[in-house]
Amino acid sequence: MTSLMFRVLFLLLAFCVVQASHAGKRGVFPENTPAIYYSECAECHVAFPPDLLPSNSWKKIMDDLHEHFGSNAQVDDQIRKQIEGYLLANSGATLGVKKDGSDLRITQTLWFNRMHGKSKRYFDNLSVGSGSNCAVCHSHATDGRFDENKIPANTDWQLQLNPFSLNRKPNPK
Amino acid sequence: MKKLTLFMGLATFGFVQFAFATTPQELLKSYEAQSSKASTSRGEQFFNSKHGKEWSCASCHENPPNRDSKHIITGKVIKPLAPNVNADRFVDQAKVEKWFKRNCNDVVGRECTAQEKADVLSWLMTVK
Repeated sequence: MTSLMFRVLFLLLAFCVVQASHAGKRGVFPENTPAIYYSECAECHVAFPPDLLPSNSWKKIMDDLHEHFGSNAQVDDQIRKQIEGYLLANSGATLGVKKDGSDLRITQTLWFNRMHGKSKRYFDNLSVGSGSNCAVCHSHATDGRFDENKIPANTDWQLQLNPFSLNRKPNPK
Repeated sequence: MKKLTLFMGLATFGFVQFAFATTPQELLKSYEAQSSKASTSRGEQFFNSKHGKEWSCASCHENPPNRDSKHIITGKVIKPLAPNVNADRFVDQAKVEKWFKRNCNDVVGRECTAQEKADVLSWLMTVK
């Protein structure tokens, strides 16, 4: 083997290692996540890992809880401060998310859309509801784990839409 | 000393639990005391109607609310609301008030009155 081939092989391997070490890092709940984060922010939607948005976005979201994506989600000021402190301290998301805070929906970030290119067609399905309903496909979403290699197969919503499924049911529409 | 701290901690915890713990029957009584006798039929109608806004209670909790339902926007699963089916419902006063406040705001555009709460709760208690 020539030294050039070795170099190429080494670079490829290094690239894979870097990719792998970065892959699982985004979307994990820090150990210090307060219980109040789950009780206040995970009733209407799943708890979103704080590193999925930059601090500017969380600040805006926490400042505008009275108009929280169409719903008034105001909490006591003391609780608001505690949650905001946690979110800002653990915020993240640099690549594929606008740092200026103009990304307020995780599902609208470039990063999310790149990651979900093939899954997006299922989001409007009645049994999924929306792209923010992470737990439908990511069965460990509530623990902050989104790293499964395979999304659960043969659930109802998939059978209805997957044209390659043998057991395809007609779409109720 | 450690034991004493632990005991005091447990005692405080017990007290806090006691202070917020309630039952659907007790809650209904306290809402009725602030208004008048509850009407299950009024409660059922209130729960299933829209009140000038986009959603009714049933938009997320479904009718009858005796099974898992889905949040109309996010799709997240909501556990059954009827206390006969879900023993965790209407047993924590602070939680009940918090969600009446939030959800009435979404559905009615204001906080619910004690009468409305009494009516809805009395109907929910009949749902099997």
